[in-house]
Amino acid sequence: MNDNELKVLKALLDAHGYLSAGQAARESGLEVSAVQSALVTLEKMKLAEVRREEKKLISLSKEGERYARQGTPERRLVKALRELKEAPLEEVSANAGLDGNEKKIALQWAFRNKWVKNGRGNDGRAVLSLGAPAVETREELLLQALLRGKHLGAADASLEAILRQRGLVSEKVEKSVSLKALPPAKKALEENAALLGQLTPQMLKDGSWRNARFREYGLETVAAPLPQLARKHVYREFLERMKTKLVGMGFREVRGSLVEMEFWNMDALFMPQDHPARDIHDVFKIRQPREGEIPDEEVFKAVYSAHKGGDSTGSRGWRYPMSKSVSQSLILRSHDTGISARNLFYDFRSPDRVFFFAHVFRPDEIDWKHFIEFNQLGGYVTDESMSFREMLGYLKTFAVEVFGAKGVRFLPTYYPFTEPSVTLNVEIPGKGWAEVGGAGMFRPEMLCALGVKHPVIAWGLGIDRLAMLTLGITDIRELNSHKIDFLRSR
Amino acid sequence: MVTITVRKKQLVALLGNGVKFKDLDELGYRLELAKVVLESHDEKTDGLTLEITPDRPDLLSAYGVARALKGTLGIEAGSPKTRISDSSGHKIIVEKDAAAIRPVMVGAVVEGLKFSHDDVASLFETQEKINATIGRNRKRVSFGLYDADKVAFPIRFRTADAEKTKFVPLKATSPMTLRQMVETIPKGMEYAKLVEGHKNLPVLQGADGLVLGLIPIINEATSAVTENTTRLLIENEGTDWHSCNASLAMFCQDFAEAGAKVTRCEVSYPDGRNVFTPDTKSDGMKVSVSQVNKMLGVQFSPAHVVACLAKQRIDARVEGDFVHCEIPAYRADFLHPADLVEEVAIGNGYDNFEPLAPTAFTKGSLAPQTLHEQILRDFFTGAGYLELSTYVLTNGEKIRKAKSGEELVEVLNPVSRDYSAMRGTLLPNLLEVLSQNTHNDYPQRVFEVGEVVVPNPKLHEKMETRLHACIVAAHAAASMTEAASAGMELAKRLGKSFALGKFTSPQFIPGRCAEVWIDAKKAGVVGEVHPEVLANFGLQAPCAALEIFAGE
Repeated sequence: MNDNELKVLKALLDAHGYLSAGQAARESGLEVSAVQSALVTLEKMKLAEVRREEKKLISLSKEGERYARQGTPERRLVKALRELKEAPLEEVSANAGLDGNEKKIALQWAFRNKWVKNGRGNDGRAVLSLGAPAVETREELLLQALLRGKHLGAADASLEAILRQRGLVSEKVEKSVSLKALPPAKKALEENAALLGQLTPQMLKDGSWRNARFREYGLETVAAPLPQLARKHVYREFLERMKTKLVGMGFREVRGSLVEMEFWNMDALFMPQDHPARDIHDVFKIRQPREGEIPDEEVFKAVYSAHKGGDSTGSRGWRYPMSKSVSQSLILRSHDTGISARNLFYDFRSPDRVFFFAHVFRPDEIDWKHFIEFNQLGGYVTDESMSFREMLGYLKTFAVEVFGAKGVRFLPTYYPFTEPSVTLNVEIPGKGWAEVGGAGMFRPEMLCALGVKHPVIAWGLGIDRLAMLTLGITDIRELNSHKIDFLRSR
Repeated sequence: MVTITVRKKQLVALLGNGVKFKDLDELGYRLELAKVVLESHDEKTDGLTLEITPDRPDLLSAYGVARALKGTLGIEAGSPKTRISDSSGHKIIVEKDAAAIRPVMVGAVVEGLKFSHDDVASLFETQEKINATIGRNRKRVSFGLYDADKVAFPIRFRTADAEKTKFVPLKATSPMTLRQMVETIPKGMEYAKLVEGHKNLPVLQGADGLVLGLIPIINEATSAVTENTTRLLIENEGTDWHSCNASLAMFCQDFAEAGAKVTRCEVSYPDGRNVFTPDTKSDGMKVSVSQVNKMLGVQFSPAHVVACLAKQRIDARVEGDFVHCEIPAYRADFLHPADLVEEVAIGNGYDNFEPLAPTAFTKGSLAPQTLHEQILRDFFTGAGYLELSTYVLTNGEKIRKAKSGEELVEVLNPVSRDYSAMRGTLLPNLLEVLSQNTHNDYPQRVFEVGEVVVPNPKLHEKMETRLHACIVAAHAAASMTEAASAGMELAKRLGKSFALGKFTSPQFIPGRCAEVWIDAKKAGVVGEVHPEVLANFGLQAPCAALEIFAGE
């Protein structure tokens, strides 16, 4: 038993009977929440008996309270009509001070109670007149009673249903707990009183700890949440694990620039300038300045020539003249493959395994599945003897190492910068089949323009999707959650 | 990705030979082998929604998908036979002015078809999808379909006065001038940019004077294709001969397979060339068997390579080490022999390749920035700060609220005002997060290490991506001491010197903030956030913050 449990138990023994949680808190000088957790232990130790009760409380809603004070709309309608004898609806409701919605309610119930009749006035206008005597209804009586603070009895159930249907009452469940000491409590308290709750520096100094006996902790309650826990972000931590795996597989990490020229992001990947994915609706552009500068006239000429007629590769090319101004246009990186192009040009090595993690940006609907800023994990592998089969080997390794997959399938697909191209589908135990990535061998037109002589395979994995799957997150925006309690608890 | 809808019953019937699929999964699997993804099947309409990759516009119809499936299922092999004949009397004359705007024109006439309402609808669907994909939204290729019985040959492709030339466009009831069409009807406004800057606009005109359409925007109403059409004129014009001809060949192939009689139009160009279109003479392309084997990492025999290509509906023959291929005219996606290698791989079936375990040795490593990031993140977590990860995209309003005074890098075409600029500092994002958490327990200590963007005219891309680190402590006794101490301890951890310099900023309380100098370089700021800034974010807890450039 801990200190709180002892205090509660003492209060119970002093009281000789049931105490509510609130009373026990007052008597023991503890917070109610502390009493709540103490009584769980006491109940388990069979030192206290706990009685839990739920009481249904019916009270007036805001509208119900207004009706109780001013009268129901139908009552106000009848009152007004009593003075006017007969009059058109508009006039009666104006006199009764009923607004649009109340007017409807008033008519509905006044007709149902047969308090008013439709008729024609002397001038032929449609008018209302009084019908059966408007005796005070039981609902009205009940509203009055509730206003005075009366509790509802079982006999009122049918009326309560009507009031509930009209939205005039609301229901609240009040939970209450009371507890009393059981016979073994006295002995337990006495035994415990001799036990110590804390080892102190003084005891260590004077050696009195040698004769001390310490109170036992309740193992169910000894641990409590740490509200101020500092920790790394759940997604960033997940990403660290991914990076560790890739480094373990011999991949070196490179980084890129958030703002990129279309040249590296698309042209250098042999994506023609009229490619649909380059449309203004698919790429974010920088407002000012609009253009950067091509870093190297030679590489621009080589890419230009590849687009125009395939350069020396034997390709037909895209048969158009590339615009330099489009090439220089500044955009927010729209995929991670541009980092490959840049790196192959500036830092080509072979054999080489490269990976990068990149924020990328694309205009899209914003919802639980899509956001305009998301992440990609991708890279490439170069080797003189690199082949399609070895590419499948890399994908299979990813499937097993990264996704823990038990099944792998490769499907044909299309990317503008690779040929052949493949989609990676994996079977994740307990989660089923999912498309998790893609790969392909960079096109000869692209490699030639960048001066790369060895085959290169490019790969990409759907990292956000994988993170959501792994972390059990269903809304993509939760990956960048701003909820501190969520982040502290993950 | 482009999707099309075809009825399952129709697709299966087109395969012939009593082909049956056990269930939808098997059909989906078979489609995937032919590079078509089955998205869904609507039980009520029997419609299959199929995803087609943008390199294969020839798969944008039920006929095209069936053609590919017949190959992979082994029902038919090699190039499909076409029966397209040269026309005797369907001539299109291209005038010089029109050719200056749209240099390529091709056309054909289709006879002997009975169109149902559904057929007409799916014909238009395919046409629009082709216009959108290989046609690049009608820029490269734009189709027109006409009831050939309402058209008087020869027709002329010419330009006409935009103010004086009139006809009744589709879906309208009264005649309009070309100018009115470009300026007022939806299709006109959508595609006006394709003929922008020309005084006279391109039209197609029959020998009887009837203007058949404003090119490439909208057709005339009386010559439109309906369920009653029995002879069809199909033409397209554009900027690239190869794309135009291949797109027309796709349609003609579909019609021919549906049993129609297809005849070529004769197109006379202003330079004197006379061309019968579509030109269905196969394009030749060769690839060496050794190149196929090297790229794929296999030892295929020449005969197997030919068999794989035949499954992909490509005729090929072996000549020494080379395989000579006849690419059907309707395939627009062959640029390089590498494209043939993919056809061989798909024909062989991706599932039939044994993956090869990676062999070469390479040294793995994290980027220096990542290692640095990890040191900072470990340090701040150890100091009791909770890590945040916020978006790079931000907005000017947030930056104004935070009075951070950074030069805003704005997005030209944002989709939301909340995300219309790139962050140059982290503090505004962190203050925003705190403002969304006032209901949670205090103290709140948070940090982020992340990338920001700052203008740098010296760089080729004019914008520098820099690594920043920012911490904020929010609680009743938050002080500059707390934030500055964290900065000093961090510098110590990094083995660098730490100093503070006098500084004022509307972001911080005067006299309770400083510039941070690390190793004698200005690295950032530290201080107690100004109450006005806190008020802007609706924060009622004092905040102390440190933000430093963390790139080194």
